[in-house]
Amino acid sequence: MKDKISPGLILFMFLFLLFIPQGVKSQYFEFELKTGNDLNFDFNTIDKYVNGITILNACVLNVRSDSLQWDLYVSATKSEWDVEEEYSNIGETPPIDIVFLKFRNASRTPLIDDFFPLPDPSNPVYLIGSENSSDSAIDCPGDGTNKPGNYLDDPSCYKFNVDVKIVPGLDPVYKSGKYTLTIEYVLMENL
Amino acid sequence: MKRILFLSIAVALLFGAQQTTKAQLSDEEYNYVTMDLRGILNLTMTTNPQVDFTFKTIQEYQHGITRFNATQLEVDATLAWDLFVYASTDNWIQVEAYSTNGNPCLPAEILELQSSVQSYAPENINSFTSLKGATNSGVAAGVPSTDTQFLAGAVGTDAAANESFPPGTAAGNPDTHKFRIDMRLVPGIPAEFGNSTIALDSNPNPDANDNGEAYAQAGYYYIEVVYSLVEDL
Repeated sequence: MKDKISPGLILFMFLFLLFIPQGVKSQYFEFELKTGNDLNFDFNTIDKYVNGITILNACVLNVRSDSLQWDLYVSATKSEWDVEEEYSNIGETPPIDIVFLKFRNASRTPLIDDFFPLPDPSNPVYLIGSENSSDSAIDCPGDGTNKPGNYLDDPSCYKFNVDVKIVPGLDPVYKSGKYTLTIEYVLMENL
Repeated sequence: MKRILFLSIAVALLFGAQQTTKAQLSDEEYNYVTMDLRGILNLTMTTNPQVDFTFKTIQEYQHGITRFNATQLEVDATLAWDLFVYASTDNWIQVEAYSTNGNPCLPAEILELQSSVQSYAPENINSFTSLKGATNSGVAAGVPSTDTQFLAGAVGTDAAANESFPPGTAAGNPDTHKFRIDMRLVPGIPAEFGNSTIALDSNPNPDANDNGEAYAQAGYYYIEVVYSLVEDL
């Protein structure tokens, strides 16, 4: 008699298992960065200083949002470079806005389709959506496509190639040295 | 039984409600950027490095020979910089003597230089000026001094006092980063090189061949002129 399983317990287990998978399924909201995380810019000629160095396809960002409308924005994690080493005592510390980014995809959905300076953390640049919570839903392949979707089914709208360019120039003079910074890409649910 | 059923539904609804009231979802990715800004100084001579003077007429001896734009230099720099000039030896090197008369030891100073770019250093070649020999130039182990003839910059680091020239390219700054150097030799008759700041018969840095004569021995000579681009330190 004690070994008999209660019908109520069976119902409880059924409902529990029914909701758990739904909950997990609704959380497919993710971001993948393909290619390496490290980008090295070595300025060892005058030509590179003046014309800059561009790394095409520095990274590929894959978006998968199965049920949520989304925003995509980017900024540096700090408002200035970290100085690893200085080779000279003449010149200024370079600002972060000598770094330029360009987001591309086949449908040209990013809201900015040319190079733009890397912003500091307080002023991120939105490539998809905005700071507002009331962004209208846009279907692929419209500009600023933000409806649920994924890069596997629709790479032209949910896959982003990012080019990174740094142009130090020669005016003003920046201190020779080794500098580092981190670029943060954020995929955010648009509530 | 009913109690268990209600409990199950309540738990399930609670679980479902948790799915809809959770925090705003987000995901982040990062790139780590390294930028290596190397210090670069490029000095380029765009003309033939050899400049020949051949004196074969009385007129050439008397009036001398001037080679305008004999040497053109271009500076590309990512750092503040100085450019100075000196002879690598105190005296010309005699390769061949055509006569036994005269002095074979010719001081470097008989060569006159003039730069197209104004220098603010006390010793300069803004107009035709005797090139200083190795010892007189004050350059020691490649480091200039206040005696050194500067084409750009000077001893010291005060850019406001023109003790350095700013970074830039020759293409973008032709007035300050491109140098046209004129050269002149005026032997005169006899060949005493009257414009030289050092007379042949009173050379303070003579070589072993110096015989104290006041005029030059006919012959074939050469001298090396050094243009040195350095970071303004």
